[in-house]
Amino acid sequence: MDVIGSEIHDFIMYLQTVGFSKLLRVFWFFFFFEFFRYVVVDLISLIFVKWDRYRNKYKYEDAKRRMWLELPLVSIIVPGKNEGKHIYKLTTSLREQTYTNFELIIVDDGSDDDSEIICKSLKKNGLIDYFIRNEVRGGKASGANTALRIAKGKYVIHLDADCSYDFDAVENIIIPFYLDPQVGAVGGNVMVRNYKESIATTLQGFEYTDAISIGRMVSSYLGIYRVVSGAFGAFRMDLLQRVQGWDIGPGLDGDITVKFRKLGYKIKFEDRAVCLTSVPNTFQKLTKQRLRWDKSLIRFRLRKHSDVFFPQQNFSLTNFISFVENITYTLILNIKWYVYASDMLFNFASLLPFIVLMNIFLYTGANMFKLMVFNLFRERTNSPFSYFILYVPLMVFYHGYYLRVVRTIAYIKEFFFKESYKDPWNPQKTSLKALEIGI
Amino acid sequence: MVSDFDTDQIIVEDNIVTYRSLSYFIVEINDKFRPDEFDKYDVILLDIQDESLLHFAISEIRTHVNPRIYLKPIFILNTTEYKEVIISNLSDGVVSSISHIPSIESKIISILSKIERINHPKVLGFDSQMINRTLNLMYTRGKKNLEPLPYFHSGIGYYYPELSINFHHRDESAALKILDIAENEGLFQSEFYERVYLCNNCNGGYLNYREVCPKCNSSDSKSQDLVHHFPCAYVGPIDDFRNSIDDQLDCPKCNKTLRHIGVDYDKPSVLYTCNSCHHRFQDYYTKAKCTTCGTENDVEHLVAHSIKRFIMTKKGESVAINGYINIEKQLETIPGTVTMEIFKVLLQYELQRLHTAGYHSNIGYLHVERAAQVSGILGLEKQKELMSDLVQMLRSNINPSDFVSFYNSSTIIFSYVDKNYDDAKIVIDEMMDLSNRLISKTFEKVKIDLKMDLEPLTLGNEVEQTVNSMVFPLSKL
Repeated sequence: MDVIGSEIHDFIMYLQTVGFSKLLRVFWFFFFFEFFRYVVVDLISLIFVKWDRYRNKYKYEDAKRRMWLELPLVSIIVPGKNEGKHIYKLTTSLREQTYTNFELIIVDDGSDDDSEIICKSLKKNGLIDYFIRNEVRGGKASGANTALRIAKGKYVIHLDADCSYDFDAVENIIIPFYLDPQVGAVGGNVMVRNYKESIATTLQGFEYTDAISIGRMVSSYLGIYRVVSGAFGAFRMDLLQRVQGWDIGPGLDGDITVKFRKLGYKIKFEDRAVCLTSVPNTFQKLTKQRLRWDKSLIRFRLRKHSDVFFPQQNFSLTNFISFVENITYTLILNIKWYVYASDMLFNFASLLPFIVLMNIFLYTGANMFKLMVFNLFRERTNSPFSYFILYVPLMVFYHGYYLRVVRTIAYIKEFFFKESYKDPWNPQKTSLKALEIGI
Repeated sequence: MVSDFDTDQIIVEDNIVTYRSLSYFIVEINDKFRPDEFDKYDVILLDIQDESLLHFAISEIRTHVNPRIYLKPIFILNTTEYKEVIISNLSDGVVSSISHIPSIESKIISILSKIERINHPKVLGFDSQMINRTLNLMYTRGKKNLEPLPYFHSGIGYYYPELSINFHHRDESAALKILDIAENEGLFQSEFYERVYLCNNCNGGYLNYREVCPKCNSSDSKSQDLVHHFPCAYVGPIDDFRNSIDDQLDCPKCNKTLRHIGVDYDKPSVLYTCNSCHHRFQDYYTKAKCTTCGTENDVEHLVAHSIKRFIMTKKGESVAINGYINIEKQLETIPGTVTMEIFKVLLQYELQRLHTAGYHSNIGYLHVERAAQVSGILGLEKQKELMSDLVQMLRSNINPSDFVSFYNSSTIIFSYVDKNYDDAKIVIDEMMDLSNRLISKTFEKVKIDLKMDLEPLTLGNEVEQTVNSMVFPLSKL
């Protein structure tokens, strides 16, 4: 205890003696990149988002009225393997929707459990409109594309079977298409249902509330929104047909978003269209999920869609900025962080305990600020922000160390070994063929 | 074999053959077919070669309302045996020529002696009538077993000749209900033979099982294999992959050529497209369309019936001789009617009154046609309700002094006194019209045809003769 007390005393003494320029020199990574991007830019953008929403509230009402007047058919597609146990809950949540002119298409991608029996029974009882069973597993993309063959709607909503939806979620995710004809796809707001289950889920709950939800509101406003979530995303049918559906994953939701962007259409995030999902409840499962997600950055951004970086016929500045921002903050700064860590290690070795403590102090302060201030900008929450206050200091380790390490491993694995093609998330037969032809 | 008999005793005169004490009436194709007249002869010889006419003749005799006619021994004059279910099971045999009549004599005597032993109590209830007719036929032919025979023309696929003959093929399921009653009464024991599934609307067994579109029930659809191209995840029908230049299959999404199933593509599922409503689906609904009434039945809603073999019990044998009376009591309780016995007594008085005073009197009937079908559809309670409505209608249109009785479960017989025939006929015709309106209003789902007529009472006729001459021409049940 004496040792810790003495360290804290020394740390306070250090803070009192160190000047602002010295603080910038030591914590340049935080001030120039992280604080600027994720606090300053986000806050300014959120103010504009709010202002914009207030300014356009009549426009929004008009779009809503036009949607109800047209009452377009919406095809809700749910591809998945062994998801039978979730489907009844999903259909119940869909039955409650304010918008009811939809067809529900379930594609069973080679399940080896009771999914087929469950879905056929639900279909017989009128809770599912179409049920297609693929005897052989083909992967998520082929499942979604199978559903696309059946779908007749003007808009297609892609859902994950283990999610449930606010009663007005379908209505809210379609309205942006009527707000701007250039909108090609809309991402829904995915929130964590099981945020109280474990430390892992609580930290993810905070992450989804802050980095994902707020982050997407900002990126959508700035026109650089990149990933329409597979758990809840709406697409224009004509554009889906133009791009001929989804390509194989992992990361197919980000991939199709880029394909839409390349067609010149806007991608919007709709925070009022809310979906609840269950996130991995252990760090082991979470690591597996994040390794898969992070690999797709290398595979899709750097390899498959690298043409976005170069001047060519369909060059788009917003796409370029979107990619650069993405690559900068998730890849380059990730590498730079190691540079920063080395800088500290070699140049400020004696101050290392102070630096670590100061980092915790700075990031916790920033996160606390975001948690409380950004909360004012949220129209819908599924958890009281006060629940997360105690966990804010842990977010420093979650974001700053755990996710960073996982991300680094994923990048190395994908960059050097193309590991995403070996991911069992996709059937080997498809991944190998995709690798062969370089998709 | 024939030489063992004394064929000299066979006397043929017109269509009547007499051998010893028995008379045989030969029915030929050119004859006007009048089963009512067969009562005068001991045996009917059908000299008919055409199978459908033979079928018709046997059916007419075996469904006749008069037990002395429907139990009559029937032989076919022919050299070949018939395999058709009704002909082979409801005739008593084949005789190759008149000279061979002596060879069937003992069989005929046995049948006739059993017919003589049978009592025919007055039975009103349709079910009781059917049970009696079946038991009578079986008993007189020495049959213990009532076998279900697979029969193409049967409405339910299986035929109990002695019973089912009384039903139109559309109503044959009613036979199963009657057999259940008989079994519950201990007249038969049963063994499971088969299970049949019948239309839940009309109980018909002519069902066309079809795979249909789940949306519009059309069976007109086309199937297409869905092809999944591995590298790009394109999924579409095989037609999407065909090109106009060669036989190769090219992916419309990534332009790669499909080479090897299982390696670069597969066919994970089949998709059907309905040619009628363009609905796309993977699983057909199996529906059973009833070719009789047109109802589209969900397979799980078909009515299942067990088809059983029935074996006549000792009690059944006893009932065959003494008659089965059960539900007819229900009809006798309908207000405004008298029993047939009282009706006959009252009619006797009326004839005597006619004799002394010279009044005009008439006797009439009201008959529900196709009683078997009506009974099958309505059930006992509704049938009783129907007959009760008809009696009330009748009573309100004839004189309070007239009397009404049930001749059987489908025929009401009544007197109409103190009115000349022409005036009475006008009233009857009006009643007929009224009855039809009453029926169509009350029983909307069932088509019930009524027949109503009357004739003047004439002096010199016996009561029994008067009643029978009126009702027997109705002949079929």
